[in-house]
Amino acid sequence: MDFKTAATLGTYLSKDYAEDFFALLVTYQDISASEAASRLGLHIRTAQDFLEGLTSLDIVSKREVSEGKRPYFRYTLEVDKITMEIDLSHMQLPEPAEGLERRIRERLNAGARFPTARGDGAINRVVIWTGDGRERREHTIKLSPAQGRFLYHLPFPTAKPLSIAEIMAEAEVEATYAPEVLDIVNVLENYKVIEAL
Amino acid sequence: MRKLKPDRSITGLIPVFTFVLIIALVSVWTGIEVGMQVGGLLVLLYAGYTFYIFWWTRNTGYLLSILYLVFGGLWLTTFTPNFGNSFDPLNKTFMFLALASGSGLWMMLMTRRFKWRGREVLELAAEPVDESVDGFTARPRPAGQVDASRDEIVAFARFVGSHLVALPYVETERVVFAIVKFGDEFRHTLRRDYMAETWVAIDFDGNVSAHIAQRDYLDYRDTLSFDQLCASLGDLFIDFVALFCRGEGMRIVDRMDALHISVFS
Repeated sequence: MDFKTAATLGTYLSKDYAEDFFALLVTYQDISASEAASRLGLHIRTAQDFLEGLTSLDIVSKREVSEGKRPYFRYTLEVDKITMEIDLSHMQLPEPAEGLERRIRERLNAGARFPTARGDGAINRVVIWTGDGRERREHTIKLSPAQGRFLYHLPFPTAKPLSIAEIMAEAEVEATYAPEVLDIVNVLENYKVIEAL
Repeated sequence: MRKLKPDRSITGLIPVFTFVLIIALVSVWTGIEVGMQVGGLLVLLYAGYTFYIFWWTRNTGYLLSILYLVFGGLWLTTFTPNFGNSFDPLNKTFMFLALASGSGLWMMLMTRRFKWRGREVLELAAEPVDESVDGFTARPRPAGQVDASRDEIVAFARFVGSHLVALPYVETERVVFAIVKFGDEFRHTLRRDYMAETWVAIDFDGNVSAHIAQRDYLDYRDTLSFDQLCASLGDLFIDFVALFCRGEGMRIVDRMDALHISVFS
């Protein structure tokens, strides 16, 4: 299951009424949105959205029926088990070793603040201002200990740029932290706080 | 040629002006006797604040300053406007003691023993820096290592505090030396927060970090290379620690005296 589908499914499962709703779907051969809504004390629109959502995930199927001249849908549960499995290994940044060779330094006039952790050779968080005028917002990025130590050793704007691997060595950040270091470098590059040369 | 701009700040004189103004205003409204008493109480309060800085730094100048302020305050509070018609021996004694301690204080001022050395530190840090490339960042910079034990670093902190080279903050893992210029001591001691100031930190593993505040960076005539300036400030303190550990701490003070920076800046 891809992450997006899992997130959608998670949203529906996290509803207060989800368990009772599934109990109804298991009990009934098929059920309409208005029947489910009246049974669970929900607004019909809420029940309809829930059932449509499950339909889009292929957990429930729907068929159109008519009562007199008025058509409506009846929903049938198609599965008796829901399994959610996400492969997180695909989410790691590709080829970290190659990324570690990039030579970087802080960008001149980046406008970011780097409050330090007291009594520690590490940056605690990065505070960046984004947007202009009324849209100007302060954005704070809390750093992991490894990221904090790495940024503490980031070359200054006019200093000679160093490769990410060199900075990690200087900051005594172990290679196993490379993915999270690369992640913060990419984020700060996007915010124009770090420049790659 | 100095690398810092000339100091035209009058922050250091603000307490004196304030006291004189308050005494003058109260005297106009309620008479000179009450004016002097109010002024005396304020001076005694200020002596309390001075004691707080003395406790922090253990600088002898501050001890003399406390004596001067206490005797001066007592002289003001016991002052009666008799215009020489009668002799109040207690008042005269306080005046004499205030003048005596004031003279000692003046001597310490003139010999630079009662002077915050922030400008000297910043001048020395800028000496080897020539490159003029702007590159200010609010980040501290790792600036090398000192070969000193925890006890030596703490002893060095006491030394720089007592000679007003820097204001030391002894923390659990490190000592932070806030660089204080003449007139800035009020901000430093009242806020007790060095984070946005210029400082050098030495942790008990010997790692040195340096941070220069934008306010101090802009105080230089030229836009010096910020990276080099921070590195130089760190190197300066590494040299200071080395001198201190060799028992040559007074050479630190001599180097600063040799700059001949005005005692009131």
